[in-house]
Amino acid sequence: MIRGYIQRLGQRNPNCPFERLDPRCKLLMLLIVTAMVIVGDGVACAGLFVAVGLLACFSRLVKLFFITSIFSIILWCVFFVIFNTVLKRPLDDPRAMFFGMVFRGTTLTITGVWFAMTTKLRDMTAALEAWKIPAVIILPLTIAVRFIPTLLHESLVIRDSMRLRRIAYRRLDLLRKPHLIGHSYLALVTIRSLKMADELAAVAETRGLARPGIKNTYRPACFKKCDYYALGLLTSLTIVLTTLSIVLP
Amino acid sequence: MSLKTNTEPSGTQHKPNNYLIARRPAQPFPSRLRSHMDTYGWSRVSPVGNEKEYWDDIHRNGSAEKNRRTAYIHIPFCGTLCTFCNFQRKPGTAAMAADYAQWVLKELKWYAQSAYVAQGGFEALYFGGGTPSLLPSEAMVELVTAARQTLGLADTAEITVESTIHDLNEEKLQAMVQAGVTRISLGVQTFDTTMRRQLGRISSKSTIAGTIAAARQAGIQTISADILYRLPGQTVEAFADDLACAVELNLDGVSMYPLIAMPGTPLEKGLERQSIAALPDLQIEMNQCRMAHQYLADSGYRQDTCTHFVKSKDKNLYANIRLDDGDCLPIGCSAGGYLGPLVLMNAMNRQMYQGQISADKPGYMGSLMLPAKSRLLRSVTGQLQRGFLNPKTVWQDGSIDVESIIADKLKSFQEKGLLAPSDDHYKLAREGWCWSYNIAADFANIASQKDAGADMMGDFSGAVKPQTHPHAVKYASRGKRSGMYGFTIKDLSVLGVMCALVVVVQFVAAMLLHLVGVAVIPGVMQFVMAFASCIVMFVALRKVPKAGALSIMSAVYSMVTMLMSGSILMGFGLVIGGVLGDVTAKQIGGIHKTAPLIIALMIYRVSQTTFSKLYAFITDMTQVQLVWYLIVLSIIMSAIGAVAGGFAGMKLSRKITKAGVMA
Repeated sequence: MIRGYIQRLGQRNPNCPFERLDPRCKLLMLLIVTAMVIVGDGVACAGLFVAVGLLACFSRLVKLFFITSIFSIILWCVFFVIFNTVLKRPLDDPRAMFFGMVFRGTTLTITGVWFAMTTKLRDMTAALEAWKIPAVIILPLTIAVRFIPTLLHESLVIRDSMRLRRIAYRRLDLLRKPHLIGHSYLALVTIRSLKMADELAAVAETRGLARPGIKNTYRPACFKKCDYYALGLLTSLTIVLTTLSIVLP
Repeated sequence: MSLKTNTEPSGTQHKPNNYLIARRPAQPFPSRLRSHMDTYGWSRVSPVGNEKEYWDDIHRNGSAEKNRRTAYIHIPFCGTLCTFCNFQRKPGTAAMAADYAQWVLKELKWYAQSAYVAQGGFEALYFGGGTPSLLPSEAMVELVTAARQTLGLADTAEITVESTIHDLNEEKLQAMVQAGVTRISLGVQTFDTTMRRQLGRISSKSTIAGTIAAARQAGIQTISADILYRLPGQTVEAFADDLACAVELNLDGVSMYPLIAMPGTPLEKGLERQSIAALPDLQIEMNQCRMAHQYLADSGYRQDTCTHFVKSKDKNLYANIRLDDGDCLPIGCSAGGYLGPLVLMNAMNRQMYQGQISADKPGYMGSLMLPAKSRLLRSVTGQLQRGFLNPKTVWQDGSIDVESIIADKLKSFQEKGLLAPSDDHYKLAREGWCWSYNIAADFANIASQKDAGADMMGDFSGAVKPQTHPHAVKYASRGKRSGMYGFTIKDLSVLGVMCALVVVVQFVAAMLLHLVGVAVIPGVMQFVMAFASCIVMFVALRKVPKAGALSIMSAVYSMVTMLMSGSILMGFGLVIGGVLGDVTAKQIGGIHKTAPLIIALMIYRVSQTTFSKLYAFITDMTQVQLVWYLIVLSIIMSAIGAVAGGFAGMKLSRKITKAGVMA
């Protein structure tokens, strides 16, 4: 599943309404959501959680939304059991911890993945350039994001090679021979990564990413009506949730 | 060394030694450019941005331009690696090459559906590498036949295969002829057996002669060979012997290249360590060049391009079409070419290439659309490499007055005796041939120079520093690129790739630790994550040991984390940690030294952990009364993890160096 999501990173989906938003608008939305998650109380976080769930439905991320929520709940249960039984120090406010782990954690994760999935790399680069962020940051960032699917593919190839050679190929080896797994993966992946850095540098050069001067793109970064609508909607939601937080006990 | 003073044959006996030159003419340029990659100044453009649309259009509807066409197929394997070569190739076997050929066949199949290819008109096909002759006979026949059918090559089309001497045997030559190969280009380099061994070539002089005879016998129509000059310790006389051998073998074509010590090759390392004799100085090199031009001309060869001499049988179509603004369709891993204004480069890595083909796509990975001004200058440099310049026949769209742009330069080169007028065009003079790359580069960089031509080129480029062509980046980017705060594009690429690796490694480590329940043990999580990320960061910073690298890496890392996790504040700790680590390393001796680097990583990691724990505290993700205990424990464990990761990184770095990874 993770592989599927990572492969979607570089693909454009014209049916997705969020792809039409300016990446800077999405970054602002990310900032507002993060701020709300930090300063908001349980009611605000629960409201945001529901809103992000709706966002996930329209972005083909609903499966990830549920998995993250369930994973967070399981993790909260583990913490609950450990604190209450193993450490013998009952939790002061298990409800606050639940809100923190499930509502806040899931909201942040899904918003981030939503941004990554619905933003084409080239659009993001154009948006960052429009914000005058120096090329010295944009270039490695572009390469880093572009490289993640390749890295995953590489690690799968290494896993197959290890299976073929019967080196730490059982799941139990994760516990029995972690050093061997770490050594095999990390050394090989690092060496391959350095090689690939060469090739990606060539690609970056070909695409003219490092060249000075104004670059023309088919989707220039500019705020459109839909961006203002999206920001307006989020602001309204923020006001409603803040009001509810004050009104409700 | 005793050299004669005249440039004409002095005796009745026709020997290359008679052409030796003592008088040193004034050099028209301070240094000599030796590669066509040096003439790619015209590629200094901002991308037009519609390359994908253009690509889709020509493959759906065909090209509106009626350019001459050729195709290039790359075979990235060599049986033995030459010490001077850093082209895109890997040591391989015939079986590996045959396996790779199946992927090329699939790419050809993709092109068979393309309207561009269906338009036909391909005049030549070139198999380069690597060593295409490494392919087994059956695979060679299959590949050449498929390529001929797909590209619609006529029986008279020129099909060239690059080859080493030792790969050719009677069976393979027969197979080549049967498949339709008309021309072979042999990598002879020198006939001096000792020097050949030094360059990583394994056949002797007698074997070369035998192979050429066998190729003729088998029916190969045109035989060409590459000869190098400026070899380590090579005198003009030694080179004269090579020339004499080439003429004696009655080769149809001879390519003459000066040896270039490419960065990262065993040759360059040997020269640095002084375990190999030094390369000849410029005077000897120029004498070798002039001697070759004169001697081969007197031996019945015509100079076709600045590096290639031909007899009547050798048409050298592939090179001529490329230099004549023709299209070149790139096929195979790491092949590059042009389709009109579109510069194409296929996936440079074999696995990436196979990934492309598996997804039912062609191998192309990167592309660039050239504006009209670039095409004009490319055409000018192409003509100059063919020995002439005709302002009326260079590519143009009517928007630029070519003659006005190049008038100053033409006058200047005529005064220097490098160009001479001839009817309605200009020809390279005898001396001009030896400086042809310099002359072409001068025209290609016209926009960056302060003269009338530059003014007329207007907004062609904002940059004045020479830049490399996309295809040349592997060979020229190392140590030559500047800008972007002193970082080269390769540096930034390494930092970007390693950032991705850190993100993935941390993510996987966190997931695994959570799954096995170890994450709840205080401090363990931070130790493992610090350890894993600091190994990778150590390797990255050893590869890019510049002040500021840690800051850039942590800034990028923070942004990727932000995008993946949605948490903007989490990233602040990374940036603060990176800057603190960078400053510390600079204060205590520089990021290129091991101890300051490990301390920098520790400071970076501690700062980042502190921030992330405070963030966790703010968001109520853990119990309040334990939080300070966890923060302190995590910071300590994170610091220990960072130091341990640094030491593990040292070990990994040594392993990488031993493996010979150049990045």
